[in-house]
Amino acid sequence: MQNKILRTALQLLMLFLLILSVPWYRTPGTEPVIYLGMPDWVLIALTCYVVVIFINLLLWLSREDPQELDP
Amino acid sequence: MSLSLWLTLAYFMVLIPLCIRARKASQSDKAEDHYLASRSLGFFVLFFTLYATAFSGNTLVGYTGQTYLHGYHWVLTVGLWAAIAASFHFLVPKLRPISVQQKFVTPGDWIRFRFQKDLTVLILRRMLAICLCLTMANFLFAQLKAAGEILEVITDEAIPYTVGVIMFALVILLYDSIGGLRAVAWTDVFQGLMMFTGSVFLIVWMIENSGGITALGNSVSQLRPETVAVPDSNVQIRWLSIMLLGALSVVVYPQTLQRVFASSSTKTLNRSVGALGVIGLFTNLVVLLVGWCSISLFAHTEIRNVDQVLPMLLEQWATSSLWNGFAASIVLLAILAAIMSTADSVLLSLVSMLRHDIPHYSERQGLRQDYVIAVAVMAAITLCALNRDITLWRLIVIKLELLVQCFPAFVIALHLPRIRSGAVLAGLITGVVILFTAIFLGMKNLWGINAGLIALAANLLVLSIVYFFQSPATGLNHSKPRL
Repeated sequence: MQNKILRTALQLLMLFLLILSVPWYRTPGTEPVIYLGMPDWVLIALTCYVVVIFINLLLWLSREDPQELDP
Repeated sequence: MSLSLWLTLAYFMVLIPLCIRARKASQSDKAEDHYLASRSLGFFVLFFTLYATAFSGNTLVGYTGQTYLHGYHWVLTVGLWAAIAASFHFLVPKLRPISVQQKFVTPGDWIRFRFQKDLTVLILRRMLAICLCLTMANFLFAQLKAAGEILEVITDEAIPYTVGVIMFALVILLYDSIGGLRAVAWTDVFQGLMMFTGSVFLIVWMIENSGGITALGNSVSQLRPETVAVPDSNVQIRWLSIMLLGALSVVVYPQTLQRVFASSSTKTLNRSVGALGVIGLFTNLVVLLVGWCSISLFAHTEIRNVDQVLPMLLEQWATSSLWNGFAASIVLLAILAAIMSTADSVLLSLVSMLRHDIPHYSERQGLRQDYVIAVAVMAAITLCALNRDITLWRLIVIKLELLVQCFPAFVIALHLPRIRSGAVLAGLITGVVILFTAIFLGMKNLWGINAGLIALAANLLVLSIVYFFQSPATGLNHSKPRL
């Protein structure tokens, strides 16, 4: 990925998702909605982590580093 | 569980020819060959050695126990991994080209290069090496402890904890010394494959025992009801601080840095680090789900030491049928593989730093002293590991707290070229003093924020103050290199 702005934006998105995974924006102690037998805040956190890892993979695979001499 | 013992012995036997082959492949007795396999690691080997080294006995044994204890709140460990995976973007793309150009072998080589003209470079390099060696010693200690715990449970105390610890220490020492990083990396491929296979078998166990994701969720909600509601601010701050601590500390693991140096090419390294994130997420999810399953499995069992949850689970699984006995043994081998692969890499890095980063000058030829150091280090840590009165999770946290104090020297100094060694050293001393004071006083956190992060904040504050007040007159052009 040559576009530095897009790369930075994706890195910031990873940071945003990591912060979003912690339910600081919800009132502590409130009863959550249950999906698949689990509280919604757990599923949101897990979804954020899966997306972070996907973006991370995309960033590494698309990195085009300058040619280097074999060590 | 004699099948497990036989498989364990067979597993050890498989490692021996790999080590001998690695020894034969060795090109010289230079440090670069012994510690970096002459920078020849391709994608397959590099990926598996990163995976096997990143996931240790603590991860598999310690995390399962903590998930059993904390229920849904322990979803934070998956966040810890995601933060760690993302953090490599801070370091690898900038450090890799310099490491190739300057032929780095140990983390101390970066300090030698980066602060080569500064007055305090030697003190900084030694102090960083001591901090990193302490974290590595802690890590090795945790691996031996995990190995001892597992062997004791699976053999119904036929192999006592003490004997298990000593046995493991001897095996690791043997193949680490024989083949260096080449042997470690090759055995890591085998061990990484074992870990992945073990994770797949754990999923099979989970499907058999949980009755599906919804049933699993319902049972956790019933048995750990206090973890269902949206967590309070203390838990949330702890969650965020653990993720931050992991992201800023694991990136400077010496064994990971040395793998960055040892890759055959930058493209190979990028692909390996990307793939590591995916397989790490898979393993963490498996451990989390198994921990949740164990809550209902041991609902009526008194567990004194949560680190024994996974071994107990395997023992119970193994007795249910012959096939399950085999599957449980494979998982057991996966755990042993995780322990061994981490321990061997840590020992190798530890010895390389003691040999090359602490002395004034480092001799890069000849390995006799390295062998002596390896034996002495392993003996000392084995003696320490005979103390069992600390949980694996606590060991992980202490290790990360100390490691994070080294973050400015590697990552901040990489991105801010004007920072001098004096500023980094002042910050490091402040951070370490505050951290050890907190550990001595038994203070694990303040307002939910981890003590290591508070020490890092002080570290960065002092670094910034010294940075702004340092004299520009003593800049790079006016001094001679002090290697």
